[in-house]
Amino acid sequence: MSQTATQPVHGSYLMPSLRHATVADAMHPGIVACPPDAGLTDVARLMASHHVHCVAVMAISHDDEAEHFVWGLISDLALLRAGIHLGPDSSARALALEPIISVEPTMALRHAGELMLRHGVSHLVVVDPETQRPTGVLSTLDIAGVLAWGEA
Amino acid sequence: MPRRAVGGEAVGMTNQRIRTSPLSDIRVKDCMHHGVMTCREDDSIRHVAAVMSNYRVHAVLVTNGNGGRPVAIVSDLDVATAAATGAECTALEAAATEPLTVSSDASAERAAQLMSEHGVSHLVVLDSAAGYPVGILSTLDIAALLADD
Repeated sequence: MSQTATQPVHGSYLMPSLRHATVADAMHPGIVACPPDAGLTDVARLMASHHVHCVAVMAISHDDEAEHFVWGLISDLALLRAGIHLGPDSSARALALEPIISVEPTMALRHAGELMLRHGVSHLVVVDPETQRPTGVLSTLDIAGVLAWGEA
Repeated sequence: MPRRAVGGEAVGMTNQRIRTSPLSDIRVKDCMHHGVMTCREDDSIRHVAAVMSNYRVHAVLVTNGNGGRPVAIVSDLDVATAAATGAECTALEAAATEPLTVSSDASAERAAQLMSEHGVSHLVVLDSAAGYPVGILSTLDIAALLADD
């Protein structure tokens, strides 16, 4: 049930300096995802086995007119809170209620860092600018990698 | 098994887990990552960033030259701050985040509550007797316990 979406955005092979780097240069392409009816244990297993701090919940919404792609996000802290206070519904659908802080691949990496500081988060979801679908994750460690570029 | 690492020191890096549940029955020392990456006070923030990036750790302990006593902790958000401002600083100057700590004898449930209340993904684990840092507990360590339910 786990799936890692691949997408067309790739970082450059020659890492630019922090001043010129964009989110696309540092991000990890792909995002671990689960269906809305996955349980808390399934989501926990995905995070632990893939070593990721967030899992996307993806689904197709049907209405009279058409089908729509919808998604949400479960953070590691949302999982913890659900694990401590087990409610009647601890499905992925119920856990993915937090506001999503997302960036686009072309955003300057420094601006993405400022966004992390403003919201006090270590991870941002990278979305495709055209489809607004999640295509990757940017973490503070990715920014550290660019800052350390050239360091032994 | 102490070993010198590129840009840092891994002290006793082993990872032990006791696969039982629920969270209240498990001690932090049984599910944490043992060992803490360290750097010196005068190491540059770029050096600390290299340690974090190479070893995928979110916190680096700053030790002084006098017996390697821990004096501060640089978090990943401290590195993000340095990246956002473009400031060139030392590890000690960058260590602005007050680290949240938990005793190695505390329950995993208590640690999870601390993380939830303070909105942090990592806790520094202190030896219950001596009080010095012996490891890091992350939300993913708790997730592994929940996955075993």
